[in-house]
Amino acid sequence: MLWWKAWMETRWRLAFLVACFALLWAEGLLFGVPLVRLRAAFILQYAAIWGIAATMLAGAGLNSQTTWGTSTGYHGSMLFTLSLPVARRKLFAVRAGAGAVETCALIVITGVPLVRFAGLGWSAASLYVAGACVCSMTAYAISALLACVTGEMWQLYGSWGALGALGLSMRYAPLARFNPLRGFFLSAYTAAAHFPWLDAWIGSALLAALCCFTAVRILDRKEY
Amino acid sequence: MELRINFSSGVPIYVQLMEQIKHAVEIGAVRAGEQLPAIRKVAEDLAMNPNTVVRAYRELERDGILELRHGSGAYVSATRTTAAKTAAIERAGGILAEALEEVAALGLTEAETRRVFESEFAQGRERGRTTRRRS
Amino acid sequence: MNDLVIRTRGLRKSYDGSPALRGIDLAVPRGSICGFLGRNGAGKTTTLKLLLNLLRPDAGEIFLFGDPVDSETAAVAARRRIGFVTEEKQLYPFMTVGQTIRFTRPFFPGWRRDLEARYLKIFHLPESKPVPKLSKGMRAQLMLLLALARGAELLILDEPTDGLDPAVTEEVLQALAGLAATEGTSVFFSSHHLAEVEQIADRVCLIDRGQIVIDGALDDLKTDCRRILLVFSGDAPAAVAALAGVDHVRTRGRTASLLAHGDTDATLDRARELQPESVEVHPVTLKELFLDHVKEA
Repeated sequence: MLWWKAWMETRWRLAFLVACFALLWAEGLLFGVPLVRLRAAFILQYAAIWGIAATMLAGAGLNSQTTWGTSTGYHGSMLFTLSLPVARRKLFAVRAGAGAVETCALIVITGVPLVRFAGLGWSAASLYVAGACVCSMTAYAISALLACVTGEMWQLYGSWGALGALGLSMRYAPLARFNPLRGFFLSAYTAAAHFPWLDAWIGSALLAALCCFTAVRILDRKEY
Repeated sequence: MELRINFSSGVPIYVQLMEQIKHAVEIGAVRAGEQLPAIRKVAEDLAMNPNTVVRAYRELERDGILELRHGSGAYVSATRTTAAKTAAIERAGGILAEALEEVAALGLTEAETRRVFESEFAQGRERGRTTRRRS
Repeated sequence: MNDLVIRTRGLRKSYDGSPALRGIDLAVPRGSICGFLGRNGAGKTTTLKLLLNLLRPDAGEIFLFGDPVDSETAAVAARRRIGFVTEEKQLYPFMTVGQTIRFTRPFFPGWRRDLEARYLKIFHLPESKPVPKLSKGMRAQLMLLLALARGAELLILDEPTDGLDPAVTEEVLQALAGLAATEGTSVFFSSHHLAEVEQIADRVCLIDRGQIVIDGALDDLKTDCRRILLVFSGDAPAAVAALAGVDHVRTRGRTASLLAHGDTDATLDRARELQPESVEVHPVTLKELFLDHVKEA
């Protein structure tokens, strides 16, 4: 039933996000711009929405349960949830898991047509979509972590800010090859030989794991 | 059997319940051998604590007014003689009526009379307890 | 007395440095209905939340059903046997009455469908109505239904009748009394409505400024305590305040009001030695007990 509750909490957001993609496709098709030429830009626009989608579908923090600006930072129903005979970690795991599944499903459904349209072969396309899933988990985990400590508004703004910081850091840091955002660049999958996307996947996995670990520790101690 | 409890009164609830059940027996509202409502039903109907009902029933059993049959319920004792009590109640009514007339002649209002009565009653109980303790 | 459904020892909790609980020792016997009283901010909700592991104590121990609650695992095991009603009575805004019940049911293997149906009927809860459209009274009743139907051995209720009209209040009290009578469910509830506490509780616990000041059977408290009113011909002597066996004394001019405790006969004798003009003895209501215990400066 916890999975069902997570679905009930996120379904409208998912619908909103699907509508965003529909709009994007409409824009692309309507203005008849050859997608081949705009490939890189279009794909990045796309990926940005994936990143935003990931942050919106998180909210696993046992904090914000779908309301904005409550005085205690959490909805009163949180106390009911916590009074159920379910461990906090399980509550977090289910909610986070449901959101992650939704994020990946969204990426797969919207991503496959995109990369096929952009001219990738099937194997490169599936690799790209898989990579987008893995790397969006960074955005997701950051958002989930923030949800544990603040309300919805700052959860979103904060995670977008973190993504922006990740984006900026790509120019300067020597570790840029591990930057998860690289996993969204088409070039990482189409370049020859060595797997440039693997570093980004590893970076994403590590960052996401760190965020989850921290979130769980915070939730263990949290007082309601 | 009509039970009306004043939950905010200083009189313990189980005592009120006992008195009312005793009264019901005395005036014949429940007869010897008749079954009283189940504890659960009394508690639920009056929205009161079932342990209190249990206590009242047990004390009444101790006083010989009720018989608690295991698994079956509470029954009014067949051996209780009510005639003497009914007569006593009638006489008490007469005594109190005269006393009230006299008190009214002193010019006290009903409310004032009640207060004096409550106070005397409480003190009388205290004296009674003292006597029982010392003996 | 060894069968205590709730036991705490030296429970302490502070918020931002200011102490909310200063060493709470609770002992609630199984099968009793215990009213938890106190002024706003005295620490009632904090105590209830600690019992459910929503908060962690700074110090002290908690035992539910005889087992220590010192980890999330232990707390989960305890919560499986407990029904909780929160102060705000908030449930999920995206569910209907029926969905909320169907959501809660699977968590409790001992869920009682018969009780669920019974309370749905008694409380007149419409299954397809969305929760946000319910009145406060109906939300409280829904929460209570969820707590009662799960076959809990212990109910922890935070102001269950707060804001409810008298008819609904009576239905709620009847439901609690009925459950206590048929299933032997223990109830630990906080309330401001002293009349209701007197009606349904057999034990009372009063918390004031972070400490328990009254804890005992309601009947015993009422038989043990007496209010003695003394009127003197001159000003009430200071000796009145020093009388043994007296908890709280209020003097105003020529009258003194004492809350006597224990052997009130002996206290009466001692009071009579001060040669008052009149002595009155009155029983004590829960309201008087409450006010006298919390009004001390």
